[in-house]
Amino acid sequence: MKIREILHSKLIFVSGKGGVGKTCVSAALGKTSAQLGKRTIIVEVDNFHPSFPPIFGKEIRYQPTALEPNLFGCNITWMKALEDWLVRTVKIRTIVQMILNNRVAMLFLNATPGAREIVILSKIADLLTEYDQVIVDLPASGHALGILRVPGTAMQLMRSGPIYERAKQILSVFSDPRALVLLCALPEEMVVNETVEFAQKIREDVPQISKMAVFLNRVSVSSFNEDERTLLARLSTESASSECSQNEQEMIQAALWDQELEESSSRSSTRLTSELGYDVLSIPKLGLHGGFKGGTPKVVQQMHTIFSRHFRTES
Amino acid sequence: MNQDKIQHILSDKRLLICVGAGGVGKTSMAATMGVHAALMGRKVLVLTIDPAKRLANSLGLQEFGNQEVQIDLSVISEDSGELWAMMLDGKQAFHELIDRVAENEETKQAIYDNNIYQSIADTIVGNQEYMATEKLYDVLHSGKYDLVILDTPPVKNALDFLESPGRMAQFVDKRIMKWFLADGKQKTLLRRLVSGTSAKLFGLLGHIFGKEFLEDIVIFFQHFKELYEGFQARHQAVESIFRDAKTGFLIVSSPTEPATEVARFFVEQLHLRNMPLLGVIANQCHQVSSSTADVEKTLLSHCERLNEGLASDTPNRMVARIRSAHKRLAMLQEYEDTLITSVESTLSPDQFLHRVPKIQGEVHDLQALHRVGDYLFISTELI
Repeated sequence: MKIREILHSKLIFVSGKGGVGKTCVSAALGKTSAQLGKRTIIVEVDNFHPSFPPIFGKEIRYQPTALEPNLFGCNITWMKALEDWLVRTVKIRTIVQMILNNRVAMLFLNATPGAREIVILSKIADLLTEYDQVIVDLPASGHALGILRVPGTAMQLMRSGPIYERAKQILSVFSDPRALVLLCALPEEMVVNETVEFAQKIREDVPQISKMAVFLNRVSVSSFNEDERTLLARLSTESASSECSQNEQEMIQAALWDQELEESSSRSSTRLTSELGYDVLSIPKLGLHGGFKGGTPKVVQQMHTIFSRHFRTES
Repeated sequence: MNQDKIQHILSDKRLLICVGAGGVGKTSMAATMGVHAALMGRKVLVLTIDPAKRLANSLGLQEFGNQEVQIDLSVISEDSGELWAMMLDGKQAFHELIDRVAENEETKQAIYDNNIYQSIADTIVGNQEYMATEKLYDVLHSGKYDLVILDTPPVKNALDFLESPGRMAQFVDKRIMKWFLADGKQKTLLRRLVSGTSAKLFGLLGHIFGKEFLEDIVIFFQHFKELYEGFQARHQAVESIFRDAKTGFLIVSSPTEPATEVARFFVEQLHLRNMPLLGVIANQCHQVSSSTADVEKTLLSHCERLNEGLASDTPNRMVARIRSAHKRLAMLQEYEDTLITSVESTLSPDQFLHRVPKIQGEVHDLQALHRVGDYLFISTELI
């Protein structure tokens, strides 16, 4: 999938294995869309430990906060979303307060399977009416799947009433061709395994979402030529013998490391493309891993620059 | 020495719980410690509650289900204890639980047929964590293992787990059940709607959730009433195990900004919850020595000697390449150190912080796990 198509989506669910850079990707995509003139919001889901605030240096709560021109952020927490939801369903404020103040009713709402997820997804659907693009930084794969599956389950479970109706609406939002799941991966075998598995599960369990795209993050571009590879291999053999001092070994190891990253990058990209059938968009290693300091905000900025460049150069 | 401490922990504790951010190698660490404790002669179970299938991968298995699987250690040792691994399947565990606690065949079938039960078992988020505490109780009480190592899912869900009894347990909370069932008499929903103090609220919930759903819930609770006492007792038991002297928490982190932030967060949370934090394992650290400048000359001579049949400028390019690769690593190490120190400063003197270097290649077989273990348990010179 081309970046242009991703940036033209209305609803983007970003997920993938833990530690692959979902938050950075979400923030950078948000910046890019915002600069293209779209009113964009990046969303965290009920995060006890929100990760957007340190990137933008601003506190982000339930109510959308302006981060940059055209770019907003929010953290959809369960209790606030529930309050919104009750107001919308019951309509009368005093009754909503009565429910929120009743311990048993709250215990029930807190514990009812799927209630949390439906209420949060419902809030996300609401955001779609106010923003051109909603980017959701979902939790890691297993739990993201749990959330995305809930509307389907709720429809089986409720069979009537406002939750049933809302779940139905959410599923129709999922079915919109401009809704997509963006899978983030790293060039490592285990991460690729999990990404492939996750994509298959989404296809099976949330068939309403027909579009998926894959970002392969922290990719090393192939740069060793044939002769360099041969020489490095010879050095490596030599360093295993006693010919080399420990310092020499360490330095050779550093280069071997670079080479291995390049190889696993191309292996991973090939595998993801062939096993999932999607084009894979590669994002090079950024920040310190790529060789300069600057921390997460700088990585997000760099990623945003890359997305913008891709967008401009794609035919 | 940290290695001695870790060694001692592995021979002394009965339950170790690994927490931390995603992608830091929690599962590999849990597996590494499992391998090592087994090599020390203990009977070990590594239990992962992560919905994704990582542990199996790192132990070189394709997949395993809700059953304990013994890992063959003969490839790395002839003389060892036992290593078992299990990946929790929430649905399967729930079935097993009901089979065990339901009084008779009829109750069992009625629960299986209930709509609510089916969706809880199939899909609902949170069930996984809940079932994990159930399974944990089982394995600890089976007496089969000397040591259980638990691998938890990343951040938020690990907290859900610590806050067990989780949502599922709340759902069968006595107060809710009472409310629906009115002192055990099987009052119907309709009667509740026309009488009783909660009639108004009940009506509202009916409006929100749909009448059919509430009726399903009444039936569900009627059956679950019998299971309830068992649930509660187990949860109290697991809660007290979390604070037992033979239990310990380990935070696993990688030297990256987000992961160390999560690590600091866990230090604070475990402290607040009065749960015993043993220490932090800083995994995947880059470690390089500082003085390598004089090495370049000898490296160049190695390169020139080995350059037979290759383009003549290759040795110089190779050395430049090696230099920049190594320089990058050195910079990275410096930066990682500041991150790790920020975690270390939050620990109390009896808690350790131990660095484990990033090893080349991926950790997805027993040999690799064993290699990682070299850094965890015995002092080893690094490459």
